[in-house]
Amino acid sequence: MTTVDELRSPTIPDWCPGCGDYAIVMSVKSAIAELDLDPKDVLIVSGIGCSSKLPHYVQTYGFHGIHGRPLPIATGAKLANQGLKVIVISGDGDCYSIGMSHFIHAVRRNVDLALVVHDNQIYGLTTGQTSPTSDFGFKTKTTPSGSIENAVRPLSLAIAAGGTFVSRGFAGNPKHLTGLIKEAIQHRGTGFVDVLQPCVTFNKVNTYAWYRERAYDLAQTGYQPTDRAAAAEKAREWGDKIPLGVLFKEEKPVYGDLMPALQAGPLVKQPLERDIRPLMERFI
Amino acid sequence: MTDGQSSRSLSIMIGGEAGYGIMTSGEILARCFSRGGLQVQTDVEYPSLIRGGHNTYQICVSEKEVFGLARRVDVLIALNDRTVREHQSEMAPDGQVLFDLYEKPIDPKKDFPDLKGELVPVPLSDIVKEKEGDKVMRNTVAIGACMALIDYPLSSLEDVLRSTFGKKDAEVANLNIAASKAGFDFIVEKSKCSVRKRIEPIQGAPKRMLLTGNDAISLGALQGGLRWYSAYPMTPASSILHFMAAHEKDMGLVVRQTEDEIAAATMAIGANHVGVRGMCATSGGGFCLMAESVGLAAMTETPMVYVLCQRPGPSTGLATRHDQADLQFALDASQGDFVRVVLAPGDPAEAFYHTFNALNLAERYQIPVIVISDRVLSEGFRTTLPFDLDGMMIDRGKLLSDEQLAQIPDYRRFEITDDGVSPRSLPGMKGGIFVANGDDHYETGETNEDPEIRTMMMDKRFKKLTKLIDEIPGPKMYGPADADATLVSWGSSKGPCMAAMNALNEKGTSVNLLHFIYLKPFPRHLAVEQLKKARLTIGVECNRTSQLDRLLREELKLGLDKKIRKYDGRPIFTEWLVEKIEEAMR
Repeated sequence: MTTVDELRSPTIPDWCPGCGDYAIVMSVKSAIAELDLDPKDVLIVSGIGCSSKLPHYVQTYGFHGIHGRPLPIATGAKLANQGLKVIVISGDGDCYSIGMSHFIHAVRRNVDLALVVHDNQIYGLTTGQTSPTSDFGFKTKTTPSGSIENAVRPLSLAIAAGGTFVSRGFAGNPKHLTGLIKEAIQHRGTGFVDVLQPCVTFNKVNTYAWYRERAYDLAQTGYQPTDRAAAAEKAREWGDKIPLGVLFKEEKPVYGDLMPALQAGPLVKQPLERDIRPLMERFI
Repeated sequence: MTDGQSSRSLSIMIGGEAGYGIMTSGEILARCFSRGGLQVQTDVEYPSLIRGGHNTYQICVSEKEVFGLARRVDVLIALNDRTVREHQSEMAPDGQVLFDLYEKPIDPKKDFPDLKGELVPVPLSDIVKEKEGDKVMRNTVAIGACMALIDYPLSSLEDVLRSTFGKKDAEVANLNIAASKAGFDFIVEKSKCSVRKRIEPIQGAPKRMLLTGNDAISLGALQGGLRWYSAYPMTPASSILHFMAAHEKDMGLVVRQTEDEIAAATMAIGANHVGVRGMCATSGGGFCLMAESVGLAAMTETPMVYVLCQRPGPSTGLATRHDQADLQFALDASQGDFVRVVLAPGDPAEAFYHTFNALNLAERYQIPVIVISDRVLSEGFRTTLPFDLDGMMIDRGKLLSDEQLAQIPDYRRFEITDDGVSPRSLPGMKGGIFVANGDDHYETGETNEDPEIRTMMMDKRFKKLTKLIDEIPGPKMYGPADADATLVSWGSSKGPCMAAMNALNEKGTSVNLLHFIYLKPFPRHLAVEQLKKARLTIGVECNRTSQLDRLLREELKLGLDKKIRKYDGRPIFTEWLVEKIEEAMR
């Protein structure tokens, strides 16, 4: 039985006191423990940013890579060893700005992994610049007169890209978030969880209280996450009311199901030696 | 048609618009020769477009090994009049131009005033119509006619046509065979022209493969246990992607065309990270995008192989042409100091063996390895003996087994060791947990910014050099040991240098060649002796700034005496190089 204690890493998090990231790492650990995943079979891949330090704080395998690229790294890792449970940890800058194209492509490919995005609507580690999810008019060091760009709506993008599990959680509700992450890990395909994550240091607008006032649990409204068109409509809801929970879910083949090489089992288990003589013969 | 002289070597060119089937015919013709025991080097020139433009396929064929390309054309197969106009001055004085008189009446003196050689009209279009073939089959008629013109057995063409088209469609094969025979018969029976140069098959010659550098790179990687290949299409690297995709089933490979080169490289790093051998390839522009990942592989000590097939830059440059100007870029691409291997094979055989070695080096030293090719090597076909696979052992270095890992109580993935290489666990293994980290880190992978630890870890990664440098092969000397001039070159310029060296030595000018495959880490002690011995060193490379010379100056404080540079986007032709060497030696 995997316990949360077992998943505690010797590395102490260096996030700001009160940061939403603490609740997210706790939820990730709880999800792994509650699903009783063997830590050696879990690979947490992250990019760059405050969020992406997370792999250091969980005692599983990890890959803390470069900015914007955790999804392709994780895609390669998952396809090369399908026995692994792969969790991608990213941020709004990492996933929706520099890594935007990988986000859309991973979702349309339906790579079998969980994608948890710490979305605090600001760049924290680089000390407070605008983010693609910053609301229009939002003031930062780089937008002193307020952002003049419309915010990216990640859930809308994921639904439009053919996402098979599209959800939103809130760092202020770790129990709910743990449930979502568990579901995302278990989902066969890209289990996408956008997490509202207050940055207590640089985002003085989108605070715990701001989110709490607006967030509501979709599950308690009788919403059914089975209709892509309805989900697309729901995904546009932002402002006075922000829906939490699973917006859309469906079963579809995952990336790898149709790859001939994987029919023989995980790639990493296949021998490296092979006979290329018949291939050479074809050049004669 | 009357009889002609036997020739030891020939240069044949097929030209026409894109979409005329130039490449296919060129390959078919080249294979006729290679199956006939002759040796071949081909080159294809084409602009970056799909239809129209001007494409040529050149085949240099000889009884001996062909290293370089001739500027001279002995037989020109012109599928349009532009081909004659553009290449009329390259014709050998006793050369022949096979030409289709289909579009308009031609007055050779007026239309092709500079034409050297004989114009041999063949009604290609009429013959195709007669045979009820598609217009694109003019090329097959033309290569049939060419066979007659050089007195090469038509049966060899039939054999190649059958193996090229027969697998898909016997009907298409028959149609093509009939068309080629009609072209052949026209020359034999109706044309007034004579056989001026003939080349004959060599009976009992060893069987040779006819393959490109990219084919050889692919085969070398497969022999080296490659199971993952990801790439974004870019000339001249794309044919590796095509090859790998065609063999994903029979070779058990995952092959992905990714959204961009960043994804291609980082996906391959992900695959390598969990223990599969992965590789990616691109050209200069794509390698710019991959550059950050090179440092990631180095910092996380993940084995990784990049293939960089150069083309002329900067920027899009000449998208389908030849150049060797990415050496300095490859030597230093990505921020920070780290250990890497950069190697540049000179021909398909070297491409095979050293791509194989690249995969071993990457894994044994847990570093990025860059294999450099270029348009001429990647896309030119060369006859090559089947690769000798004996003794080619896949070596996974310090990769731990579950049993070995179980013996290590306090496992640290980035443990400081004597040789800088740490025993490696893989995700999924019990007791081997670690974080691969692009931030600098201590032995466990945990981020660490302590100045002492930073210094220790940098030194740890650089300690890999000690052993690595010992197994880096030095440059290879070709030709007479003692010569008046030593050509110094790297990568695919080996071919033209060999050709020019042989031509000069035959003329009584004594020249040898010092050729580098491994460029980083630089085999200093091996290079310096040979360079110091040389009486006159002449650098030969396809770039504007003599990049190898710059490297030699940096590594050995020893520049080259003379430098021959070419950066017009076209290959080095033997005649041109001979002239330049003679000039440099004057």
